[in-house]
Amino acid sequence: MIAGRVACIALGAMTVLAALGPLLAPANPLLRVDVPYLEPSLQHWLGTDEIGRDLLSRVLYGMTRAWFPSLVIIFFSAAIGTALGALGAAAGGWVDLVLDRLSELFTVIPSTFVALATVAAIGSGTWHAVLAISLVWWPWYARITRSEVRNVAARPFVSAARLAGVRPPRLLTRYQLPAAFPSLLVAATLDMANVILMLSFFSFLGLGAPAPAPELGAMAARSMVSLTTHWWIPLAPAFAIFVLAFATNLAGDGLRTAFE
Amino acid sequence: MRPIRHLLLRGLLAVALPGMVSGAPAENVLHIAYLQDVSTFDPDNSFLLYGLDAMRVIYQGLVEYRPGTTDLTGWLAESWDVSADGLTYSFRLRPGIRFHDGRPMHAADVLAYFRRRRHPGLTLAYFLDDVAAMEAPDERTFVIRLAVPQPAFLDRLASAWGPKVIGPEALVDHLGKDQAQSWLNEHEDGTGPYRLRVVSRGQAYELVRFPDYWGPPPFFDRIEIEVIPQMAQQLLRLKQGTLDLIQHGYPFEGLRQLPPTLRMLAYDDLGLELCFVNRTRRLGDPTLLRAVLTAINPAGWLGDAYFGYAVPATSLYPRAMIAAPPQWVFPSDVRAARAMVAAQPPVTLEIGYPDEDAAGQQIPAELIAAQLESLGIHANVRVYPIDLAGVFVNDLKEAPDLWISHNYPDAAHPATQAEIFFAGNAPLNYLGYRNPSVDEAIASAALITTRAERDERYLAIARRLMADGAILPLAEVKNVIVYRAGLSGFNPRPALPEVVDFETLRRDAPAR
Amino acid sequence: MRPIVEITALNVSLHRAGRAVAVLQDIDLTVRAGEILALLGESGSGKSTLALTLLGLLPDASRPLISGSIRIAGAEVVNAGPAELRALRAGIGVVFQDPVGSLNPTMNIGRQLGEAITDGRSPEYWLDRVGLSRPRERLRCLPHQLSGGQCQRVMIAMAMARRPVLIIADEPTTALDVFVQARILQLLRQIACEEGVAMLFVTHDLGVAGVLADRLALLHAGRLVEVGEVKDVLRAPAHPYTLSLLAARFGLGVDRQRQLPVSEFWSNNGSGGARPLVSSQPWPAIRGADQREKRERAAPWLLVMTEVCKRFVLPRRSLFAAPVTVKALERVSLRVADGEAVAIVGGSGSGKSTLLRLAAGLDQPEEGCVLYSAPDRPQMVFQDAIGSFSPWLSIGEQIAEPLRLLALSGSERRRRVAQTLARVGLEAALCDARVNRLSGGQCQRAALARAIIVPPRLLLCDEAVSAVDLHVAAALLNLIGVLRRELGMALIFVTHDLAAARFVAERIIVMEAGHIVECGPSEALIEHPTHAATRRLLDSMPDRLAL
Repeated sequence: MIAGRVACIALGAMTVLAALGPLLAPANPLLRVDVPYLEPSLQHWLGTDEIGRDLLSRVLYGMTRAWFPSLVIIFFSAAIGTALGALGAAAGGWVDLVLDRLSELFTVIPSTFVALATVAAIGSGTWHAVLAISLVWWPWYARITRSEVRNVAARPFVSAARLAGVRPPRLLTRYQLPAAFPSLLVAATLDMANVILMLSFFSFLGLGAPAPAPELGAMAARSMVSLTTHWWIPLAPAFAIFVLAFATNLAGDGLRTAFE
Repeated sequence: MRPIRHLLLRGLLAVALPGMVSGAPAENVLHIAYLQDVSTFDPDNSFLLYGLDAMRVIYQGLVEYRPGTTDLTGWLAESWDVSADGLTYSFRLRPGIRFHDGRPMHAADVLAYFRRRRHPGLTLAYFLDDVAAMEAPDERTFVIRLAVPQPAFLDRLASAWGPKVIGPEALVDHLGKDQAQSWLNEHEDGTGPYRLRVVSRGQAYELVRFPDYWGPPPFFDRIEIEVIPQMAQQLLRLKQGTLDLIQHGYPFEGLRQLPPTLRMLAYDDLGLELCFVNRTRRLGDPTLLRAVLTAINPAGWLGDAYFGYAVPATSLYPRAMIAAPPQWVFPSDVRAARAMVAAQPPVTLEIGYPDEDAAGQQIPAELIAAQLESLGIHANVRVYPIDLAGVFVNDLKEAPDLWISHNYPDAAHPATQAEIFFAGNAPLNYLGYRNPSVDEAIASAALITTRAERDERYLAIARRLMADGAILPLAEVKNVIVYRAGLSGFNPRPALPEVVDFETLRRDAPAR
Repeated sequence: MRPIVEITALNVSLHRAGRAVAVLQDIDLTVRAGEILALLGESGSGKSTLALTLLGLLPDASRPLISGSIRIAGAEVVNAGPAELRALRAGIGVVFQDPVGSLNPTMNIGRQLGEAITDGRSPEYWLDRVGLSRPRERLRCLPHQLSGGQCQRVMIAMAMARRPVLIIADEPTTALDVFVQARILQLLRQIACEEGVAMLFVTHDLGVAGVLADRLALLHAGRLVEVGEVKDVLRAPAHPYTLSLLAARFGLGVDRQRQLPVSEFWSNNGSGGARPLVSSQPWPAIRGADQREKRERAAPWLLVMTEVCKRFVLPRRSLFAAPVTVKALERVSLRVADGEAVAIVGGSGSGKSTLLRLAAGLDQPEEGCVLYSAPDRPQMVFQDAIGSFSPWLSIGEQIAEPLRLLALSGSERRRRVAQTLARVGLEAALCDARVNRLSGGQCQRAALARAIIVPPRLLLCDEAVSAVDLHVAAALLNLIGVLRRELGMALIFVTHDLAAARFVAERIIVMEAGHIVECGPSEALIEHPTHAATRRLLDSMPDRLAL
């Protein structure tokens, strides 16, 4: 109970923070506000970066740019995965075989490379990265859905519903698919952390939005040289990534405990 | 991986156990790093910067620059003559020079090498474009006859990318169908004080002292070179003591707080920070360009980028090449610029910089972007592979609007700057500025021998380019070597970019 | 001699959903050495809690409040420390309901048994003692390689091998086949006599308690309503609850012409106040009896199954083993007439449930054919009542599913659902409830509601009353009988209990190992069984004293 509540609060807080990020930011993240490499002070809470831009504003904008695309990726890949998993479980036979092998293929090939290749083909940018990652992220959800739907097919209420004349589409959506929802929800929440890290990885490699856009991974990458002298410049975005990932992990654990 | 761990272990031991006394004296090893891999060890085939210092101590040319100057002095040639008409150059070669394969060097070998250099498939063949004939009348004399006079010729021979004699192991034993290009990627047969050993391509190289070198032996027995693509990692290694020096790219703001074990040496070279403008896109509009120039104006951001280690450039030539008062003034009325921008439809500009030396260009490029942002122009900043930059001219509509790069001429003569960057068909005329009258001026200026007149002609060419808004001067940045205390004898040469002279480098105190 | 177990003034409260609930109140009980005490109660009566309290195994999460005294062989259990409890448990053997799940799946039987032995005897000795055939081979087996009955024998051996003073058996035969149950009960009886241990046998089955135990203790809503010698309690019960229980049981001699006398009051676990027994009601008239003759002329048989075969291929044990095919049904033929009630009885594995699924059309036979001559589909009620409803939809919505095929408005649908709920004896307010708010009996009634909301011509019941308490089972049997007569449905009732079969159906079919071995009118078959399988079934019914 408490775990579930903590989970929801954590997720809600992150979403609110991410949504309000641009409003809370004290300065324009693209403009210089002072000399570069300023230490954190009352005027600039996280100091300034190597260009002289307000680091706090950049981090807040960066969190927004990490959070919402991640939500989109999770949503799409869960939707694609659930649909394909349910389809395979319901159809059975060769349809199921093909879909199962397909999801195996995507699992075996390092998804990072497929996503990188896709971005190389369609160009870099935040939403290009979102599309590329969504295309390779679905197999996990497909497998969860397929396994839950198949497990529940053996339960008596499915037979009873069949006898009662429930048609296959309604049988799948109202009777079998809900079995997968708890697992899917937990999986999605735990997955958020991975997606945030993956997006940061993309922007670290320069495949996200181009500079000077405030993207957490890219910010950390570009300021690595300053790690030993002005450590707050690379650490602030890295810590922001950590906070996002940690909050979602906490939420996922809480949800899992609540469902058990 | 064992050789690398071997190298690192030896490096660590060398630092960690200074008091280790054994019967034989300890080996003197130098540890340096490159940010990018060396593309090839063939001295005739690459434009790139990484490996020039190694190249300098493996291969040698006929003439070279004296340390710290742009004055020429003999190298493999102990003396030379230029005919009155400027067409014939005779070189008297030093005696007792051996190639690394053991064979002695004669004029015939020099002739064979220069013939190889002219092979059309080689990138740097153009250095010898004006050569009409070459001969080796005797064992110690080598003669070149030019078709037209070329006052810059000797400078070209002394260039970092100039001709450097390759021995018969390559040109005879491994000539093959490709003029030994593939063999020379990883092997060498030079005359310099060090031999090359490729430990692991892309990761580590080793230079070992050549015992039969004709000159005084260098201090270091071995030089270990690692490829470390992350500057952050190089910094850590330097501070730990497993790296001896960083030739280029130490973050400028870090120079203010160097740890006590490190020292720095700042010197001027022939590098110039330039901004190339793409006139085929939005910046074809002169009013918009004027507003943008307000943002590019180095006065607005130079200090934040270089912390006092750079000055605004005066013209399109470095001061070590042509010393002149400022030839160009940037517009500085920010309010007028903002008004100009506000009157236009929304603008987004693309700023590009090369991946070679990305660390050095990233901050100026982003500073310029921030300046543009404050005018109301959004700018995206991207890094491009240097090879891609070479073909921007094929499709200028897809090329960036502004190209920020740090550029070096081939040698100290202004002809080598103009012919590479300003001429219509110049290989590094990144954004395709074409002006036939400028081409004519460049051609005629190349023939002038009087220093003052020559300089004035080239400055006029530069003024033309700047007035046309094609190329703009940003800064002259000092090159800073950061090294562990105890090293000395760097002997930097302005015409050799980022090259530390390993022949004269030595360590005075024991490394801590 | 002092009793082995002495429980005095025991009160146990557990915290559920944050509130303290009194689970056991004022329990006084003793068990002597060599004596079997059956602790009888329906679900929710607190019998399992009592067993756990004796072992000191109440979950900490429930924050139990225990007062009173429990002495086992003189040692006090209440408020004992962990070390004392461990010493106590060394002298108690426990046999749980799920034998396969109670054994460690990764160790073989011999090792597990060996760990339990305290008296130096060999594991083989104990396996032989509990009647396990080929004991030496079994030592190397893993639990999943043995059947339920065999595993239960191993559990009993493990319990005995510790030379305990007390054995607590918590529903040890509920999950077992009826034949196996009989033999396990015999084994327990034998052990108690020969070894002289005290045995506390917890069960909900009155028949089992009656045949096995020396003394009987009845628990109802946490209180002991009756304690005494079995003969005395069954002959002259004192408490109304006992009376109601005895009246509700259906032995082989119960009156088929009338409904069972069962009181709703007790089946809802109400407490306090005596209620008069409800006398047995007569059956309603069979509807549509006049229509029947017309239909019989047109199509005499409602369901015809001809020579059906059904085989299952088991997953392979290893890559190189040949796949094992199980013949669930082998050339079975069956006919059910319109409005007829037929019961199919057999042990587990006889194929009766498979046959039912084929009749419903849920599975297809490999050979043979199934002909159903009505335009609708047969409806089915399953053994797992709670599992036959989806937990994500309300009861009302699921009951209304058959109505979706008819073009009815939403309000019309709700009306029909409310009507049907009333018919099966459920409150209309339960329409919007999810299945987790209902008891097993209520779920089964809701399942019946779903089956009859569009009255089918054929109703199938797969062990529909096997998993519920006696009162609930009796009420359900009454309900099934009433519904089928009022709606004129044919009925196929699958069960392992011959008494229920006789009560519900006019004709009984006996199956064994995928074949039909005997078939005939209920009374005649039970009085004069011809096939050995039928006789075995009769013999394994716990002898009910009402014979």
